[in-house]
Amino acid sequence: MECWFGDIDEKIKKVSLEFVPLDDKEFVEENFDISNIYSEEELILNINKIDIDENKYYKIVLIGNKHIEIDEKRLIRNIQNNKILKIKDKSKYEFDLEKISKENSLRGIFVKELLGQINEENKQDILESIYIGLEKL
Amino acid sequence: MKINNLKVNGFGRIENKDINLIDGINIIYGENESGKSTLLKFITSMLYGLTKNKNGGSIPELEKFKPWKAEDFSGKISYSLDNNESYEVFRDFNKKNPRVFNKILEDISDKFNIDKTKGNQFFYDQVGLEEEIFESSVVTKQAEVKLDEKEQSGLIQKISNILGTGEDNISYSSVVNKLRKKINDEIGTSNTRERPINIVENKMAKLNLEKDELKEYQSKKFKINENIICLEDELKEDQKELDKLRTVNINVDKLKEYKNKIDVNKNMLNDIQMDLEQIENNEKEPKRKKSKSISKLNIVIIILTLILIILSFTVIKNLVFKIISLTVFAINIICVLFKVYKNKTKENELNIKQNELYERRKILEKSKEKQTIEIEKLEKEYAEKLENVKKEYNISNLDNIFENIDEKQKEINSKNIELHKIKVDYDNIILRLEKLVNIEEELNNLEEEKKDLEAKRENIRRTLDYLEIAYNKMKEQITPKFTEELSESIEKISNGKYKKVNVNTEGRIIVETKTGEYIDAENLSVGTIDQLYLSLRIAAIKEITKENMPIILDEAFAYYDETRLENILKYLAEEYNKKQIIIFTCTRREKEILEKQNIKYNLIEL
Repeated sequence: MECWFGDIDEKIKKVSLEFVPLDDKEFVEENFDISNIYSEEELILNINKIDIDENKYYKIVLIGNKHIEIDEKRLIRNIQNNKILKIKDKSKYEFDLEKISKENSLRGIFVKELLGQINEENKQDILESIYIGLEKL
Repeated sequence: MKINNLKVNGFGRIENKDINLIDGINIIYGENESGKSTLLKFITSMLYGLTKNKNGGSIPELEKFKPWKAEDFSGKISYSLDNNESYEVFRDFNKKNPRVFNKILEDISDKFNIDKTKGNQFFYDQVGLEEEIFESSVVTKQAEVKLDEKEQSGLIQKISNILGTGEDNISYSSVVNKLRKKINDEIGTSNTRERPINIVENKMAKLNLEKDELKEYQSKKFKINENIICLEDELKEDQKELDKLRTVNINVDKLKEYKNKIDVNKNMLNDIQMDLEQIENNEKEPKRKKSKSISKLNIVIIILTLILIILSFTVIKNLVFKIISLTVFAINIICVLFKVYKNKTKENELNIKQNELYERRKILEKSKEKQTIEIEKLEKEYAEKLENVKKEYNISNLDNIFENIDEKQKEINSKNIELHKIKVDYDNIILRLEKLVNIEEELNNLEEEKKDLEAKRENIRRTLDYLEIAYNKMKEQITPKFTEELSESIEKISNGKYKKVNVNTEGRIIVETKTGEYIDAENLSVGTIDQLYLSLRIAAIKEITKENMPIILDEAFAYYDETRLENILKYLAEEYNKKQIIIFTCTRREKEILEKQNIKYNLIEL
């Protein structure tokens, strides 16, 4: 359980908040490398094996190179540990986009075209589109 | 590029092998399980390294290809590039990076890019080919299907794939279909049912309905809360009023002493009054009795006896009669005298009594007067006290105080019942509103899930859009080069029977005959298709790298019949005599055909 208490200063229109723990249980973030995992079943099994402190709640951050498509919601539904409240995928596909974009092939042109569309705002989505395409190509 | 020498110190089942390769055709012959595939893996591993990752397999490659017997897990590859530069690469597979030497044996390892996971990228830097592209384009593996007819269609499909995507195992239409299926299966659209997004939307619609219904309770909650406060205030007031009435009642009760006193005095007065009346009656009684002391009967008897006496002495003169008359007369006189005496005594008594009564009446009359004064005094005091209570508690009428208390109590009771009822309603509403909070939380989660699904769908759609753009560009820029290459090849292969190869809008390969007729590639002979496929693969490699790469055929002709094998080997020898061709085979057919055709080749037996 977490809670934020604070003041609202109408004059300067500012809200100052302070974190106040209401529960002795802690919410922690734990990195989990998935570079050696090649199927969703394997990933679920390995997440289930993570050492869990019963007095903590966990957010598992997937890191490393991914070889499978990650569906965070589906993972949360399928893992058996109720201390794991959230799964965030920050792993990356093991593609060298620069190299691929130089290929004179469909995937080369595809990657080159999409890389040309990237800006600060859409970077994550464009990369996701590229990885979806590359996975099928 | 051509490979000059392979030196295997220890790699899987192979150890201490030194293999020289030539320009032109090299046949690497070996029975099954003699190490052909291992040697092929040795070539790619020398150029790209071995991974510690399982890559989907049960054990990592690094473990899989550890030498069976030899201690040394290493080897060397010597190769030349088209620019006549030669290189020697020594690799100890236990180490991440190989040592690369140039023609004059200078160590140039540090001149190449180093990838964090893959290590030294010398070969990619030199030829621009990634390992997987090398394996899928430079190396042609055994056909997967045995039946000629199906193989022909498969090969045509592969040609079509290369024309469309630059790679033989990737079909544009199949990728597009897979992506559309992915949208339908993993996300869903407005046309699908029971897909994740449909389920989320249905849940949201249901929850929104429930939420709208429950939202009414929010305004109800405020109204009921106001009612509760209002009722509680009223009850407080009523309770105060009741308490006041009760206090008044207690005070009025205290005044009862006066009333009792008044009542006692009045009773006493009544008693006195009654006593007086009694005395009055008693006073009248003796007079009435006195008048009746000598009765009429006595007088009549006296008169009658007198008459009888007179008659006995005058008329009758009988002695008895005289005696009787005189006796009756005497008795009567005695009676009358006795009666008179008695009356006299009574009269005396009566007089005494009368005097007593008179005395008592006097006392009583005095008491009556006193009592009346006392009562008047008490009544006055009582009235004054009552007036004070009225003034103090501001009550005009004290007559119905009990009724008023009763009424107030009843009013309070009924209000309490009403308040309890409202509070039960309020609790129910709170329960529903708690449910509303849960619904809103669930709606937020579903909204987030929906957004994620929509973003994922948008990403796949973007993938589809850009694949189409890439496909069109591919058709404009690269496919014409392939079709040109194919057209040249087919003209040569068919001795001018076929002229031009085209791909129609459906992705089918159409061949133009020398008479100008267009026929479907399905109608070409298997041999022709083989040659077209091979020429197209080589053309495709040209699009990926400028280096003239070797052609490596790994059991590629295992299912070919003699004629077909002869044709393809002849074609390879004639058309690609300037390329290095490495054929891995487990049969001696290739050797026999090449010898029969007098084609120069280099045989390596494993």
